[in-house]
Amino acid sequence: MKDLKGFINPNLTPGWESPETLNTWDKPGSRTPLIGAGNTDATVTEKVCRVIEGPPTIGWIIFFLISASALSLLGILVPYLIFTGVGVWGVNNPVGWGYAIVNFVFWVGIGHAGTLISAILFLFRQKWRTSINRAAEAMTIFAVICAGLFPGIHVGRVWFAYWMFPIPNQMELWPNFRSPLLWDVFAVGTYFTVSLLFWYMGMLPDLASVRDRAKEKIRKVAYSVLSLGWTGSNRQWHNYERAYLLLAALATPLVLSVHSVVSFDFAISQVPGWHSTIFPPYFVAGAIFSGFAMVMTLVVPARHLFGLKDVITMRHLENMNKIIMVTGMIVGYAYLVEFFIAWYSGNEVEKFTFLNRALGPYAWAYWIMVSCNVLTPQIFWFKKMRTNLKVMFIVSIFVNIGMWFERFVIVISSLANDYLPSAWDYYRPTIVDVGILIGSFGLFFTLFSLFCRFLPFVAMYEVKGVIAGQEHAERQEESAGSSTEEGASPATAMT
Amino acid sequence: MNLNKNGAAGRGKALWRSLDDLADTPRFREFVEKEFPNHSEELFHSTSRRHFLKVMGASLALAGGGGLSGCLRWPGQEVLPFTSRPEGRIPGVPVEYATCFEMAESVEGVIATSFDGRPIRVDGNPEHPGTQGTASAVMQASVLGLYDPARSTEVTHASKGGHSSSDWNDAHKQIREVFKTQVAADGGKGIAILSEPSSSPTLHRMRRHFQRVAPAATWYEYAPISRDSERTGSALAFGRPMRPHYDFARARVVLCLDADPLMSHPAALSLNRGYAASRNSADSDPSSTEGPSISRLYSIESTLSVTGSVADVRMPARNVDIPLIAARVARALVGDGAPADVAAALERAGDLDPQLKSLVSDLDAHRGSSLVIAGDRQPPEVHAVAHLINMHLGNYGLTVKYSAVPNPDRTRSHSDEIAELSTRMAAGEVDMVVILGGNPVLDAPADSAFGASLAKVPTSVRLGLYEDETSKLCQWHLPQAHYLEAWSDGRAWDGTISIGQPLIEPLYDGRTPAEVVSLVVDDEPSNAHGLVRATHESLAGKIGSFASGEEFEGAWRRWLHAGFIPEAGSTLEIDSQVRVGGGWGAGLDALLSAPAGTELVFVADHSLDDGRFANNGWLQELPDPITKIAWDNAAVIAPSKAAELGVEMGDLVRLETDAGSLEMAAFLLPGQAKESITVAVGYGRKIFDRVAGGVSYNLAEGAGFDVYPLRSVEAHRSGHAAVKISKASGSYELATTQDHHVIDTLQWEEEQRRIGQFIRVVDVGEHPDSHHIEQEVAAAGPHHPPLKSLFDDVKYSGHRWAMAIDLNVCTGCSACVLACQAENNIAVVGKDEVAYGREMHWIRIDRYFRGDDVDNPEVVHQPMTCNQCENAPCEQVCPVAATTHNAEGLNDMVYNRCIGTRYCSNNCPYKVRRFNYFNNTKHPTEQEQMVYNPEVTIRSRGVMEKCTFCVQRINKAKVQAHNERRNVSDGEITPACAQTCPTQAITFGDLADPDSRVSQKQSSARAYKMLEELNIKPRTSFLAKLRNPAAGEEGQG
Repeated sequence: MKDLKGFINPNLTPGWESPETLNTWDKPGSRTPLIGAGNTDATVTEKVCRVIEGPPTIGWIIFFLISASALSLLGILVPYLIFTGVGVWGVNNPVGWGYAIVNFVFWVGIGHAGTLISAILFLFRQKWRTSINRAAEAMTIFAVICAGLFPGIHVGRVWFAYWMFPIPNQMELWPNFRSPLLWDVFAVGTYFTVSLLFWYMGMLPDLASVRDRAKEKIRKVAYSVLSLGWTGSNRQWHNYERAYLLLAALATPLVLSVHSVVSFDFAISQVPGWHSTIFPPYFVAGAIFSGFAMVMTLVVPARHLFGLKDVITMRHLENMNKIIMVTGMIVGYAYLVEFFIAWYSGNEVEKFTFLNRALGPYAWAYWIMVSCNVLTPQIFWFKKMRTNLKVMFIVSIFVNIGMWFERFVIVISSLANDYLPSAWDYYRPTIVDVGILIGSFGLFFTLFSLFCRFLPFVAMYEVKGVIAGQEHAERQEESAGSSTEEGASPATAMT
Repeated sequence: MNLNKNGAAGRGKALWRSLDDLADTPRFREFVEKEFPNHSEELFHSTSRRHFLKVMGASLALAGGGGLSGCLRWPGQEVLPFTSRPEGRIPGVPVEYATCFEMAESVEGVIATSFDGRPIRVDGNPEHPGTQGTASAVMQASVLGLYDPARSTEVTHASKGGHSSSDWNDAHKQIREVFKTQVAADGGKGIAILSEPSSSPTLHRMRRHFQRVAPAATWYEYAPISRDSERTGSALAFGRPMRPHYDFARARVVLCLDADPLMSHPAALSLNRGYAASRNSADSDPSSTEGPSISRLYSIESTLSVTGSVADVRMPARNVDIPLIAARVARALVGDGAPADVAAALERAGDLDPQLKSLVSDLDAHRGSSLVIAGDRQPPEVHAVAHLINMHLGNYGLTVKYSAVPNPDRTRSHSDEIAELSTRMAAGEVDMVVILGGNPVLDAPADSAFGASLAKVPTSVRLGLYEDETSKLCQWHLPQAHYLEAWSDGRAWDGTISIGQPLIEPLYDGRTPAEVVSLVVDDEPSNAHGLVRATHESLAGKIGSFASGEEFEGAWRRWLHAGFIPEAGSTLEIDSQVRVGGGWGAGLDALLSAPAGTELVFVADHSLDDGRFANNGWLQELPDPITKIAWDNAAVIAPSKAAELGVEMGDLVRLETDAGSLEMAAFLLPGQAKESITVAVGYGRKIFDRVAGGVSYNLAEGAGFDVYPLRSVEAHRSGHAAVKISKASGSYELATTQDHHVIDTLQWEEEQRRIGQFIRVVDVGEHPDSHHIEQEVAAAGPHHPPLKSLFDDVKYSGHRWAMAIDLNVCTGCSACVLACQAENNIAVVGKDEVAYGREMHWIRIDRYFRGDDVDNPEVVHQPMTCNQCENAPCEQVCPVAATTHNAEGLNDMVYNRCIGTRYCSNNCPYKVRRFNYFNNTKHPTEQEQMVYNPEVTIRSRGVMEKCTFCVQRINKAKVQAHNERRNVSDGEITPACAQTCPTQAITFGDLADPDSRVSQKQSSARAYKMLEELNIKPRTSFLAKLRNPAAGEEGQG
């Protein structure tokens, strides 16, 4: 890869760019390299495998210990909850769903980015996905695990939660197929299964690489088993890529369906503030928004800790920031449309619900949501901010908070003030509510830190494909550059 | 027999049925041959196939029953079967007995339901003229008191370091000894008995008996909530104490002067019926020639009472200002018609306030069909003024009648009696005091220092249900029998003599007040049965021809069966010759110049009364009909006064009266008179009680505030005291079942808008026009597009159970809430959980304030329970189909199937589903278990529950009808709420029958369905409330 300065149109750059941000600029007529200069197949393998082969770093140990302590909180509180009753939470009569469902929807939403990046962007041939898709998919799996925890423990009689599954039984009783909660079971179950398969399958060649580099016996055996006998033969690659494409095609509708179905939990009901046809697209956009933010939250420190800065480059991050900004605006648009419809429909109850959200007892939560989700991403209009690691990390945290509050506002403020004023109440979370929320983050980060330690963080073989393409393009450019001053082929703008 | 010998003998019997069998005695062989003549061979030759199978079967059964018995939850208990079943007794079939429940010097006839020997329910006695099948919340909750684990269980006697157990024999011996010595010395001058006011003829007889034996002794009577004013007031007006009997049904215009006849009156149940009749004649009044009509109710009061909340015109006024208002009304109506001195006082009262003009002209226009009622907390002179107006308007004999009082001999007021007893005890003049019931150490006026004086009495005996504040200071504590375990009698307010019979052996060997008098007075104490029977045997002669012998036995049995003495009728003679006399003008005159300043009004609590039910979980958790506070009382203040003081809801305020001072939580109640503060007595008991003291319910701060220390003898007499109120630091959490948080303007406006749709109110004139009503009711509903459903409508071929709730007569009294709780085993969850919004009541009464006038808003009550929607939103969202529709249109809840997602509750627009957040019935004591209705499942933790329309009653009636080869007739099934409602506002029945009462009501011009626009097809109809505001006020509010 040649000097990146050559890609920059001096008339367009403000002059503050640093070496790190250079590959976020496009030179008309040429394709900006995605992966840092000097990376070859060997260096990529080395960089990625080093993370899981070397001894754990101090940073990792501290992070793991903090996460595991938070997880142990979950280990204490969940049995306490199950043995005592859901009354240990702040749920009450009008507000039958509290933090548990807020957390569920939050985590399912987080679990959207991974499959979106790996499946949809794959189908759209977005090469930049390759550096981040593995981590994002892992995040998806763990987020869905966290999400899956909540519907299980939020019911009053956990020991009968399995009745939600259509298992043939001696009572000859089936679940109620009209209930959106049952659809949830199927939607989330399918999504989890497909995501897990997709993630695992996508990891096979890399697991084989790790296996081949393994020096210890146990490691060798473990990765041998995990890599399912991958040899990298031509035939295997051929079948593999077909299968990957098919799975990507299968997973793509799921990305859209799962959160649509989750949104049906609300949209199908008749609670004012829930009963709305905008929910499926609004939820999907919100899910992508929060998912990308969470990827950002994880990747920014990880690329620094694991020395992957030139594999996950600023261009990747900037692309994600653009998506965050766009989906943030979709979400903001949805907020506006909800208000418009509440007024336009002439439904007085709905009108009140939305005014009450913005001005009533939960106004604080509403405005946290709006400022985090709609206002903070607007900073990404500025390229300087979009390519600033600190800014993007902070924004991603804000978006995470904002999206959690979005679910809080939807679930709680709608229930607290529905039809009958006599039943109106105010929801107060308990310490157990907060503890379980923290515990779910513990579960998530514990799983994620284990993933960083034991599985390849970056899809090596896919990145290698990108490097190969990059080199090919460079060679072409060199030959073209010698013949004409202008670029030989128009560059495809990348988002 | 020698087991070893035979057992070890060659035959080697491995299996044996008894020791005889093992020993193989001839007697056993003979027995077996007799018992199983055809199989005796097989039984002795253990090898047959049949035998083998039998033994195997038995072994399996043993393994199941015996081997696994460690897992069984049945408690080990001794079961003694009837060797022969008594005739007519079918196990598992509830039996009903008539008995009577006494409170406030009057009894109510009740029917107690007993299930296998344990009383589980108390309802009104349908044949009793007072209750006619309805019951108040307190009456129904009384059954829980029977099983209160905190009840005192034994006779105790004070010794060093506290009370130690003793027994009745010792008590009798020692107390009787003291009594005899005292009587022998000076006729018992130093002996005093303090009883609660009672209507019991037996206790009256025992009182006379006591006074014969100890002529110098004194019998005192005291009640913290006294009705003396009424008694003294009638004595002022008529020269002798009289008891007024009101007839609401005939009254077209009623004025209540600080009176709450619909809630706080001994005859409230029958007054409610009359009130309902006077309102419901708006639909059709066949008796009237003028067509449908509706009464008009005026209320002038300091705090919002239940009666005030349903009044057409309500005016808040301080208690002390009401005499002046009454006098001005009387002056305008009666003028010179009053006795001279009274007329002079009225003259000085001055001119009528403009807002009273329409009231006066209304009363004037309804001579003979109007009614003025003065309340218990008004001075006797106001009662006299009320009597004067009633007489003058010709209401006498029509809407009000007067009878003699049952005990005309009592001349002093309760305030005087308690003050005198305290003084005498303090002076050491009392050597022996016997306290029958009550709890004077708690509730006697603070400045009488009753507790300190009581401690000086050498021999003090206390009969009480609990070892409470008073017992602690007495030498002897005797356990009192609960009325459901005792023989008793009493007079209903109208004079009907009722007889109470026990349904169960006394759980703790308790006795009745009459028995204790006998124990003190007689060498051979009589038992309650003997005492009560003897009373009525002697009274019988006066009634009919049952002088004695078998004839009386027959009559006695009939009376017990009925629960009252029908042939005696009202034993209080109606006096048709009363005249209002003078002599109280000066007294009235003195009341006309009311002192300025703030007053503190002491009221009986709607649930706990004077504190006697403080340990009753059902009543503690029952929200107050007006404030909706459960588990607490509060200083009720007007919002305008609170603004002046800078006090917000729940802030502590400091109250100072001449008797004492107290910091308590403030509750801001719209409609409260500005310079008047209302406190309910009976809370904040310091005694260690399981419910009120907060042992099991984790009440950090106890249940409420004890306001008795603020109450002086004078305040007891007048009902109020001058008070200094100031803001104190800190606040207190009041658990309310409604208005959990302070709502902002946005929410308030929305609430107002919705109330108009949910609770449709039509202002009508005196003669309502049903066409106009129908239009108004329809117009009040929301505009909505045509309703389309995703699902096909269900076709019902059989019954279609439904309910109609008439908001026009609902007073918010909350008897239905308690009825439902008792019938359906609804758990008590405690204050903290109520504060969290987790109360379990299946039916609740929503109380809303309407209008912008926060000082005098309109109040509406709406009973709210499951509407049994045909297109039920709860059913659709349950993932496990735990709530489904049955063939009769009921929305069934299957507890066994429920996993507790709470989705159904979220999706219920009426928010009537209740979730068991904890195991609310975790460790009921042995006694507590006894009150459960065995026909209703106890719900476990983690399941949803809700109103079932009392499906157990529906099924029972259906089974019975089926067995008798007939259809269920209309009115045969009554859910608990409908059964008990004092105004019969709730109608239940079958919509498939077009002639059923519920079908008729649902097709009434006033009927509407709530939230119909959601296309949920609720089965319940509400019937719009009609208001009859005063002329010139139509259309207001």
